[in-house]
Parts: sequence; C-alpha cells; structure tokens
Amino acid sequence: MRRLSGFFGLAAVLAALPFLFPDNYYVTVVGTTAMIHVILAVALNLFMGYAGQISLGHAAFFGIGAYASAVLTTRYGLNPWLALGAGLVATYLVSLAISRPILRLKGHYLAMATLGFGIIVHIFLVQADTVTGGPDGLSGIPPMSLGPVVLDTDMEWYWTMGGLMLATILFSLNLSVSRMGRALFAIHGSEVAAQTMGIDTPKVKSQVFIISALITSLTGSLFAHQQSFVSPDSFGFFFSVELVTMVVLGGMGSTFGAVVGAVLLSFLPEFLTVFEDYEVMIYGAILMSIMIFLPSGLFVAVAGFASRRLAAGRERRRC
Amino acid sequence: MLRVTGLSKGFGGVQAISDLSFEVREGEIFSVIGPNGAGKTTLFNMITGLYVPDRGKILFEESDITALPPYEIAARGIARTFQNLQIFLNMTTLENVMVGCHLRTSSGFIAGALRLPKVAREERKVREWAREALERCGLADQADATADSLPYGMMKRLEIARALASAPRLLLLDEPAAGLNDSETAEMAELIKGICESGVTVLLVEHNMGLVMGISHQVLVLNYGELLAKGSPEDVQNDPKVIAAYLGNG
Amino acid sequence: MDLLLQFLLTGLTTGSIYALVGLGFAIIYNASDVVNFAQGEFLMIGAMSAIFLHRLGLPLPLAIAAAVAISIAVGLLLEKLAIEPARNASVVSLIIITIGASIFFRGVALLIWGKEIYGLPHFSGEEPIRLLGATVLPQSIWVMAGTVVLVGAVKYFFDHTLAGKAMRACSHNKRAAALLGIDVKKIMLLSYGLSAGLGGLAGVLVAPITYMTYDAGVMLGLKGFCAAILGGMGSSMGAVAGGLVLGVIEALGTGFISSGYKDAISFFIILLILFFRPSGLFGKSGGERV
Ligand SMILES: Nc1ncnc2c1ncn2[C@@H]1O[C@H](COP(=O)(O)OP(=O)(O)OP(=O)(O)O)[C@@H](O)[C@H]1O
Ligand SMILES: [Mg+2]
Repeated sequence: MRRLSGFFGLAAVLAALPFLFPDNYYVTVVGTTAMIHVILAVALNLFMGYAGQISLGHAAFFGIGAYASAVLTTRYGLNPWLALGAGLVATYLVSLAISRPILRLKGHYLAMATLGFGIIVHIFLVQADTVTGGPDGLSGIPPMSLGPVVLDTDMEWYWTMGGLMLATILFSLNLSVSRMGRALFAIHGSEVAAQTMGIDTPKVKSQVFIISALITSLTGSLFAHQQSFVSPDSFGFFFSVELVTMVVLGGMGSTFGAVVGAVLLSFLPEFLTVFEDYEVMIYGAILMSIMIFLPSGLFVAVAGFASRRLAAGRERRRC
Repeated sequence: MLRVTGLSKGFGGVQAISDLSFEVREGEIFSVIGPNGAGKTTLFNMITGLYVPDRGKILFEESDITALPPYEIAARGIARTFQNLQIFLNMTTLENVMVGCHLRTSSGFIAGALRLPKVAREERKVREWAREALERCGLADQADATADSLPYGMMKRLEIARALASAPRLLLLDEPAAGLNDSETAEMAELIKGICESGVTVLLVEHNMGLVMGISHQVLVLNYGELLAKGSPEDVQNDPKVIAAYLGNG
Repeated sequence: MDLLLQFLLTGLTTGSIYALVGLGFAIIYNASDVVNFAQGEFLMIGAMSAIFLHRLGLPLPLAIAAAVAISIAVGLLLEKLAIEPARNASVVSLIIITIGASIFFRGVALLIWGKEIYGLPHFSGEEPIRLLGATVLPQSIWVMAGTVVLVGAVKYFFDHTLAGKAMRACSHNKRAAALLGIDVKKIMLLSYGLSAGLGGLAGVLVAPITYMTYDAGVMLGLKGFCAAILGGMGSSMGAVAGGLVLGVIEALGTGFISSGYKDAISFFIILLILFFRPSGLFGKSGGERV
C-alpha cells in the first residue's frame, strides 16, 4: 500500500492531534476550518488540477448546499439530512444545467462564465431576503445528528469533518490511478488527443464538474450546521478566489498539494492577525509570487525536489 | 474499409480539400503525399471528426461516420497520431499509453474512486496492454519516464504506441518520420510494416519518399486539395503530372 | 418616454465607464494575450489618488494629472514585475497572477485609505441640467464627453501613430512584429501604461458621482470585462460599444426590474453571450486550429 502511505500518515496525524494537544483552539477550531477547506480544495482540484479547467465560481455550490440546509431546517423544520439531500439535488440540477454550455468554453471565457455564475448566485443570496434572510443571513440552524450523536461540540465536528476529509482525499487519490482519472489528465494535457483516444470529453468534463460541485455542496450543508449561522459573505467571489488559491498554492493536479495549500491558507490568517491591516495585501502578494516563481506550487516543488534528492542518493549508492 | 466520396473543406478563402474520393482496402498501407499545404492533415482531421467537412461522405466499414464526434469515430476503431505532437506531457510514458486503452475498458468515476475489485483487475489488464504497446514501439524501458522528458523521436513512437493501445482497425499516421534521422526512419518503416502485418490497416501521410515508396501498397497524391494521381508506388512515381507538380513546387 | 430618456442617460453614463474599462482590457489583451483582472483597480487607484491629493491641497486639475500618472506607474510596474517574468505561463496562471495583483492593490489601498467612503468634488457644479424632460448632472456630461475624447484619442493612436500601428502589429502576430524590428517588450509595457492611464482617468471621471472605496474597483473591473466580452474579446471599439450597451441594459434593468438585481442581469447576459455567441455581439466567429 505504498501508494496510500501519505493518506495513512495524514489519518494518523489527524487522530493523534486531539490527544497531543487537548482542547487546543488551533486543533479543534482552526483545524476543523482547515479540514473544510481541504475538502473544498481537493474537490476543486479534481476539476482544475486534474482536468485542467478553471472555476471562479465554486463558492456558489458551497453556498447552495449551506443555504439549502439553513433555509429548509430553520424555516420548514426539515430533518437536516433531508435538507442536505435537497441541497445535493439542487446542486446536481444546477451544475448539470450549466455544465455543458459552460464547459464548451476555455481559458478566460471559462473563468468569466464561472465567475458570472458565482456572482449571480451570490446576488441571489443577498437579494432574495424573504427566503435567505438577505445580507444578515440566517441564524439558529439546528445541530444535526450522526446516528445517536448530536453534533454540537467542536470535537465532534473535528471528527466528522476529519472523516469526510479523509474520504474525499481517498476518493481523489484512487481516481488519479483509474481510467477516468487518466481521462481527466488527458483532457488537461491535450483535449484533442483525448478525444481521438475515444474520450467523450464534453461528458467527462461535465461529470467531473458535477462531482466536484456535489462534494462542495455537501460540505456547505455540514458547514451550515457546524456554524449554526450562514450569511452571503462566506459564499462570494472572494471565497471562490481563495479556493483557487489553495489549489494553486499547493500545486495544481496534486491531491496533497491541495491539502497543503488549504491548510496553509487556513492558518495564514491566524498568524496574520498580528498585522491585520496587511492581510489582504500579503494575500495578494503570495498569490502573485507563487504563480510567478513557483507555478507548479509549493508542495509539488518541494516534493519534486525531495524525490530528486532521494533518487540521486539511490543512484550514488548503486554506483 | 474506408471510403471517402466527394469530400470538400475550405477555410475562408483557402480550399484545403476539394471533391476528393478514394478508397482504402483492408490490410494495406495507403499513403497520402503532396506538397506542404496540400490538405493532408485537413483530410486526417475530417476522417477523425476534428473538422466537419463542407461536403462529401466518409464511410468506415460501410457505415457513415461523416461529422461524428471524434470520440465516436475512435470507438469505431480509428486511431491516429499528430503531425505536431499531442502528447500528454503531464503524465508518464506508460500512463500516456494507458489512456489509449480507454475504449477497451469501462469503469466509471465512482468505481474508480472506490477502487472496486473490478477496477483493480481492469488496471492490471490495462498495464499489460500498455506495456505490450510500448514494447512494440521500442519504448519499454521508458515506461516510467515523464513524457515531457523524452527526446523527439521517442515522442513520435509514443504517439504510435498510444494509438495502438486502443486496438484500432485503421491507424492514421501524420508524418511519423518527420524530424527523424536515417536510422530512426528505417526503424519507423519496420514498425509501420509490422503494424500492417498484424492486421491493422494504415493510412499514412509522409514527406519522406523513400519511406512511402518502400512500404506503401497504394499512394495518393494531393495537390492544392485535389487528387493529382493515385495508384501503386511505381505508377505514381512515373506519372508525369506528379513529376511536374513536385518539380514545379520544389 | 421621459423615463426612458432618463434611463438612457444614466445608462450611457455608467456605460461610458464600462466602455473605458473594457477598452483598457482589450488593449492589454491584444498586446499580451493576458486578461487583466486588475483592470478595475486602475480606476480605484486613479480615483483614490486624485481624492487624496486634492485633500492635501493640490488644485483639482493638478491632482487629476498626478493621479493618472500614478495609475500609469502602477500599470508599468505590474507589467514589469508580474507579467513579464511570467511570460510563458499558462492562461490559468496568468488569470491567477492578475487576480493576485488586484487583491494586492486593494490591500495596499486598504492600508493607505482604510475602509472609509470618499468622494471627489464635481468638476463643474452639481446643478442638474434639464434635457428634454430628463435631468442630467454636469458630471455625467463630463463622463460621456471624456469617454468620447479618450476613445477618439485611442483610435487616433492606433490608426495614425507609429507606436499605435506597432501595437496593432503585435496583436496580430508577435513573431512577425519582432521580425519587422518592433520592440515587442516595449510595446507590451506601453500597452499596460496606456490601459492603466485610461483606467485612472475613468476613475477620476466617475469619482464625483459614485462613492469611492478601496474595493470599488472589483465590480467596475468585472463589468469592464463583461463589456470586452460583449464586444468580442480583442476588439477595442467592440469593447466600447459593449460597455455602452451593458450600461444601458443595466439602467433599464434597474428602472424596470430591481436595482438589487442589476449586476445579476449583466452577468446573466454575459453568460448567455458566452453560451451562444462566444465571439461577442460584434466579433466574427473563428475556428480553432488543430
Ligand atoms: N484550421 C484552419 N484554419 C484555416 N486554415 C487552415 C486550417 N487548417 C488548415 N488550413 C489551411 O488549409 C491548407 C491545408 O493545410 P494542411 O495542414 O491540411 O496541409 P498539409 O498537407 O498537412 O501540409 P504539411 O505538409 O505542411 O503538413 C493550408 O493552406 C492551411 O493553411
Ligand atoms: Mg500536415
């Protein structure tokens, strides 16, 4: 199982952290946020890193899931799991409807179309205040329960999100060494060649877009219950850009790259609070400089360097 | 096996292919030659569904494939290589060829992501097929190299290996010997002959006359998108129109 | 009828600004194939600098000139420090770089000016002018007239000056242009300067009628992008027309539907355009080459 050694390592760290640092704010609170970001980044990476597309509107799917749960549980008293299912159905229908026309586009056109979609959804969340509560959002979202356990402590959410995160990562890692994963990489490498190898590229792109959207929506629903409050601010253009940043910061196309990017970007604000005023500026500077100087991403660059060193070491021993 | 009738394609002012008809018989190496810009690549692009013809029909094994999407044409058993390489540079050599097996396997996203037992079996088979194809093209020891690190000549063979991995019945090769030195060209000739002998029909576009005349069963000469001559290599070489066109165009 | 005229005037005013941003987009896109997501920030920088310098006691014309100079400098720096080093980057990387740049500029503006709302005095009074039953602010006339002059100047620049013709040659074929002895690097730099200067001026023109904040550039920039797509990416005059059309549609949407959804209407139109006519309203469609 060498292929999954990174995965099991991460799982071990995840399990050990609460015992090593009990009741630590950085583990339970920031850690849970980081895990949410990891799930979102890994899901977006399927679309961006694997298939080579771009989405500047993924926050919309996060918002659709979160608001479906928030609205249906607070206003209609629906069971949280049913609400979550409704969010998934809504996301499925929306992503299915837009995927074919949107994915005919490439490059900046695709960027603009996904951005436009994200902005429309965001405006709807702000404006349709009779349903969504408008700019103030919705509060008092009831906790959800997982079997007999009512999820209402930080630790319970830590384990829940941790489980979902590991499942998402495993999903992504397995996919990368499967037929459809290769089809995605092929589309990234050369869409023309992929087509002539028999890959139904419009269908495959649309499938990965929908899968990515569904994971994002699912996480949005859980996020709404975890926070017990949602407001449109969490689902705007800037959050879509943050998600993209996580993916490229670690390294597009690499699952652990997305993990690293998401974790770094989740902890960054904690360290930047000291210079709160500088946060936006530093954020922009990081985004720019990574793309200029390390376009393959931090994780990929470091991992590549390490494996070259290792290979060089092995080479020397053989001689 | 492949029948083209009345095929035409223009780009704005340029008539890249006009009223072209020909037939490729099963089991042969059929070559298309002609000066630069004659429309050879355009012809390939229409056969493989990348371009939609303005007029005309393309029949493959008696069924009409005109203007089908490329992946459906591939599914009928037509594979190709590209003149300007279209390697998946983000993958290893082996993975490139494994993509070629797409049509011979069936597992979807969910099965792959859950790594069902069926998928593991399929993966083993795909690896085997891919290694076989690499072996045939002399790339066996490059399997784990990243594709972008291969020298040019190997990339050309990698495209052939990838196409072969799809187990095609008709293989379209667009200038496989361009940029190769003499010994590499000779190897390429052997490879193409071997492919044909294994039962795959080959449609070849190539500028290297030695290669074309040496291995082809039929040769078609295109000039400004029109059929100039067609026949056995000897007939074509002795055709005054062909000689004039080639001498005239340099 | 009066109402319609009123919407039309409002629409043409905002449309003029979109047109200028869209024109800036098109100039950079033509010269360097980069879609500059930081285009809106040039507006913000121009407007904020003018406001700030004016408050420091500089007379308005001088403050405006200095503000435009600042925007140009920022545009040149952006090209030199962020775009040129990433010459061979993929489209996605370049999109992210310019998004990063726009966040960076916003961050700097936030540091300098905070989150307060600023305004610039109107250039020539705030007394509305009556026009065929509609009213229009003198500043709106400044905006529209300014846009006409600037667009005319850009058109003259492209059609009649050596640098302009060189820039057009670059947008057709960089390699050929380089062979003709055109200094492609200089042209790229020039295009960023020109585009940033236009953006800065546009910002100064609207500052009196829209409130300025450190993040006012985001939406304006995106609308400019919409204008450029509406007009057919890469066509300068198409972007101008696209901006005007977008402004008028928005004004009508605000008037007849709801002001809250006006941005949604613009983006919805852009989605329709992208889905059904990606070459824009005024562009010709072209095939892709394999
Ligand atoms: N997508 C396209 N758009 C416009 N013109 C095209 C396109 N594809 C091909 N052409 C033109 O069609 C003509 C035939 O081109 P094609 O590539 O088929 O020639 P070819 O025979 O393959 O030449 P070569 O030997 O150089 O590969 C040329 O004039 C070419 O410029
Ligand atoms: Mg060709």
